Amino acid sequence: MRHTLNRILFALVAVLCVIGMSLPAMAAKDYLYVPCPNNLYIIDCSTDTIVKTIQYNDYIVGCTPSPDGKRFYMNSFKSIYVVDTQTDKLLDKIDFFTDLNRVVISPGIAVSPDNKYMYMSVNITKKKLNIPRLNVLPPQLIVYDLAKKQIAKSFEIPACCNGVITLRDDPDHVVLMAQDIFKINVKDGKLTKLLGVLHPEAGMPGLNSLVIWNNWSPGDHGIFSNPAYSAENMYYTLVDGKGNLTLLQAEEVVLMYSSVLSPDTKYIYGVMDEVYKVDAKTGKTLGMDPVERGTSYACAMTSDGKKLYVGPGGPDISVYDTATMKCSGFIPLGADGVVMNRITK
Amino acid sequence: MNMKKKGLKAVNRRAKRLEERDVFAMGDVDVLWDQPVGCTSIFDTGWETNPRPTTPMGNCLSSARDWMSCSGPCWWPAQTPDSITNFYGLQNQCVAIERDWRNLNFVIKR
Repeated sequence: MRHTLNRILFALVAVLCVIGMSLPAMAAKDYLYVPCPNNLYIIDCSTDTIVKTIQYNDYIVGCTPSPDGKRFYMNSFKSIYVVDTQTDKLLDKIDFFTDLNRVVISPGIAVSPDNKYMYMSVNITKKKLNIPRLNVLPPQLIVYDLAKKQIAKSFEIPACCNGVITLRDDPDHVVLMAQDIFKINVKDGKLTKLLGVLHPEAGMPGLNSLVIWNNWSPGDHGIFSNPAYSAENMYYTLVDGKGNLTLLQAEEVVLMYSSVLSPDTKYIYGVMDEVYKVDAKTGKTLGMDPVERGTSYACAMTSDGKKLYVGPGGPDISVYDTATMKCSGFIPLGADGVVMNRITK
Repeated sequence: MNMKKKGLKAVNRRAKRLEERDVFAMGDVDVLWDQPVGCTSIFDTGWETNPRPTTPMGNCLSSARDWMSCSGPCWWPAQTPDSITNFYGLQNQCVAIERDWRNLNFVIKR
């Protein structure tokens, strides 16, 4: 009798555990975090409506979720803002810019895979009190300890690094998207060149790219995608979680500000004045639609890959059905913007 | 002004600090980042100015939807204010250019 009771109890506990584990997954919903001047808009992807607006007073140029999705970081040129995505409240504002120590943060910030450090490409200009001259330091990669709220390390990096890409499977390195593409060891600062962009290797084309947008989402495939252009062709720069870089040549030259790889890694979606669906293996354009609302910067997808969001740019986000590549509507915002990310919670 | 060029010699610690190599607007630094403080450090040589008259017709101009983002790191310094140094807080005048452009109140200094 006692043995049977134990069995029943064990079975009950097991069933409860399974239900408990599956509940968050069942309840998980996709949200877009869209930072604009003075307001962060949080959009529920199931209803495509703004469910919360967080106010501040700044012009936001970059953003990234933490890999665990619990924080959303935004940066202006002078400060970092920290948002708790569980409560959707602004937790902190960290200032880096003072009159004597003018730290300008580039848009492409990133957070380490363990969620502990933020990586920022910065340009620092120092001014001495009462001395009418400025000292421009070489560009730096700052490793910022988010818990201690202090700079842990800084390394001199190549100029014009505007995108820092963390690698899911290689926490010791980050990729720097600059005039060329580098991998840097965040322990000792050792630089390795991955690809010549402005200074191509022999036999390779010179490329031209604008790296501001890292349209990734926590829990996705961890592959960064960005369009790049030579004089004759278009390419997609793909960087995987180990830092392996692939150049995929597009079948035709189309114009994109940014792109995103679908959750199943089969398609690349990109946007500027038109939105495109591209085969991620062949580079063939599979679908296109002019964005009725106009120029758009960033892309985000729902976690099931069925909906594509493009924007902001102007004060709205257009919603696309990825199967038909037709616009199903747009979400009006209160302000123009540049970047956004999707977080599932 | 470089002290050595003036024939001056530093005699104490503070004066020696003034002899540190200044790189602002000097000719011996990498020309690609020898640019006004606050201006863009971004590698963007204008591929998006598409000259083609047919689809794709993308031709990014500093107008309407691009205006606020272009005003930040002065991609279009003649057309938009530099909101990093000269017009910081510009977003308080205008958060959505298509709707709020009448509120703009900046003067490009010559």
